[in-house]
Amino acid sequence: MSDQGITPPSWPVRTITHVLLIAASVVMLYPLLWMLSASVRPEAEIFDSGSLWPSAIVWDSFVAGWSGLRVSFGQFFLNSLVIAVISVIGNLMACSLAAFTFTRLDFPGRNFWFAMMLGTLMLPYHVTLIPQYVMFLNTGWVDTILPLVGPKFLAADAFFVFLMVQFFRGIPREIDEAAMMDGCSPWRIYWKIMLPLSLPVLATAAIFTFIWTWEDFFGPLIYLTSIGNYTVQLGLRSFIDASSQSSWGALFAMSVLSLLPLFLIFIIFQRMLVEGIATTGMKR
Amino acid sequence: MTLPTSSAAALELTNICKSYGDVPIIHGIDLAIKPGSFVVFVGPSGCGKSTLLRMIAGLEPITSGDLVIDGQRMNEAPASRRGIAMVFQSYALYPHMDVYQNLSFGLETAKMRKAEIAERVSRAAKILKIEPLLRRKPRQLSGGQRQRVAIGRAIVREPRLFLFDEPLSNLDAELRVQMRVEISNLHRDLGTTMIYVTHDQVEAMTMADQIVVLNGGRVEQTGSPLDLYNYPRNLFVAAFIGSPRMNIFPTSALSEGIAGDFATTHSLGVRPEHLVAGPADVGLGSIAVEVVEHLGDVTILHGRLPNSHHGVTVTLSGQVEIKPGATLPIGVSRSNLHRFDRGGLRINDGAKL
Ligand SMILES: Nc1ncnc2c1ncn2[C@@H]1O[C@H](COP(=O)(O)OP(=O)(O)OP(=O)(O)O)[C@@H](O)[C@H]1O
Ligand SMILES: [Mg+2]
Repeated sequence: MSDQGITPPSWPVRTITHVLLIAASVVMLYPLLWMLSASVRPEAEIFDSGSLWPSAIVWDSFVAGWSGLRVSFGQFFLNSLVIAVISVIGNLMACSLAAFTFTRLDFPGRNFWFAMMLGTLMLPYHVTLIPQYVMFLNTGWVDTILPLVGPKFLAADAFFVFLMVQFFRGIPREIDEAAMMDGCSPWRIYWKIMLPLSLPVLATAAIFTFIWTWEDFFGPLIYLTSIGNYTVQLGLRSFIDASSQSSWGALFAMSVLSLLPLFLIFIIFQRMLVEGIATTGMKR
Repeated sequence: MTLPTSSAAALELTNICKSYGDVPIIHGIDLAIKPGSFVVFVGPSGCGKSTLLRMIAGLEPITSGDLVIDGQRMNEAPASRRGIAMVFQSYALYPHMDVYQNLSFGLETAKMRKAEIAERVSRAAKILKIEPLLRRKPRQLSGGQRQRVAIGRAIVREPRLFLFDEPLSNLDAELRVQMRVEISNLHRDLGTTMIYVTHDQVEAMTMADQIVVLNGGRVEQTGSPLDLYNYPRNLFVAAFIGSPRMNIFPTSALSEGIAGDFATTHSLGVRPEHLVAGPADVGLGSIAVEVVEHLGDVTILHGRLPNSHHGVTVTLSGQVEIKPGATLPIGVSRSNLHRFDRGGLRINDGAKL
């Protein structure tokens, strides 16, 4: 049996494959590496040299970036973090409850509402943007984080509801039924049985929610107007000023910093993420 | 070792029906179950055994009819308030909880005091011999151990009625026999009413006080194992109970002389173990033996009747020297004959019932 496995390619083929792959990744990584090097080289040199190697390493850009604006960049990080963490909590609670309702409870029009929810997946963000803005303007929520985090508590992210529905469907019904025989209410089944059994999908949803809210530029741009409320992404944009001189060094330095949380999260949760993705779509 | 006997439930089903959408599945079942009895539902696959059990449990709404437990109509009561525990075929243990938590979960849900929970769990664990496993997760258990935990989860709640849905069907033959005995012992010790679904008729015959034979959503017959064996009410039960199954001959397949004796009879049933080689009250002629199975304690012959070539199975006790191709005169004592009319119903003569 083992002899019939795929025979490994000969060494010239292997070498060529590797060279091609390495070349491709260098091409793809070039912008990132360029940004990294731009953040630590003297500012005058940024657009003058195509080389990735800085002539000298200076940290001026980081200092200039962190406190170069009216508000410290630390404040932006804090704002972004608050929004991302609240969004994660909201999405986990609301989407899992919605998914539980769709998979385990019987109510009139269940299939209709499920189809409606899936329908919202097809709606581009930009279609609902203006009505939503008007709505939040009327409630007086503009220039607060509420328009950004509030909808998360109403399971507005249909994608995650769908992901969790898929996962919940893979949990055998008999486990719920056993819990029912044990006297559990639906709420207790959700809390004590479904959630603990759904850690992979919850982790996936948490990580993606964090990444997507952290990266979001459009939402904060629309709803946050005063600089004290800015997120990291809005802060970055503030370095580019049409009327006066843009501080590119600071921009790149802060861009590098803004990537760190994502990078850390990815490294820490990589295994859970992969497991989550593998167990949701294609269970069994 | 005994648990404090929780009261055993009496159960009464009156004209219970179940439809899924427009499709009727259970067609009016009447059944009375005495407190403390062990009742087995048997029947071919798809006949509605699980559906009936789940209606009793409260996991499936009852379309019409009355379900009365201890004198109280329970059709609408939620599962948790019926005082019933159920053991599922797939065990359905909570995968994220260890054995102790699996057992205690239902008690915690009922807000029982910690000390009492611990006491009940350890008592159940002792009875089922799963004490060393209390800190393991279900996935670290063997099939038989999981089965024990599933039963343990049922008994800690001290229900008045136990439901088992084919609990042994995932176990290997040896373990099945062992667990069968253990469940029977448990029933004796607890004295609780138990309803047990199976399609293994050895389980049914050995465990039951009362067997309910279901077919196509109807009760074919209810009675003690020996009643069903000795006096099957119709052809279905006659063929379903007993192994190898009963020989059923249309009287037209028998030779002239015998058929004349049974003018009103449409078919005759004879259990393989009641056929004897050689002379008997009723001779069936010499069969042509086609296959011989030596099981050690018995020898099973498959052959054909003379004239009609109707298939026949004979179980002879002991090890009988006989080769395929031989012929063998067989017969049966008159008291071991089962007679059925044109509609397949049993004809009772004076001697029986
Ligand atoms: N949810 C359902 N919707 C529609 N029909 C169903 C549903 N559940 C069961 N049935 C039908 O009801 C009938 C009885 O099913 P049930 O599961 O009670 O059979 P069973 O006697 O337990 O069979 P088995 O021995 O194979 O477990 C079957 O014909 C089945 O197709
Ligand atoms: Mg079944």
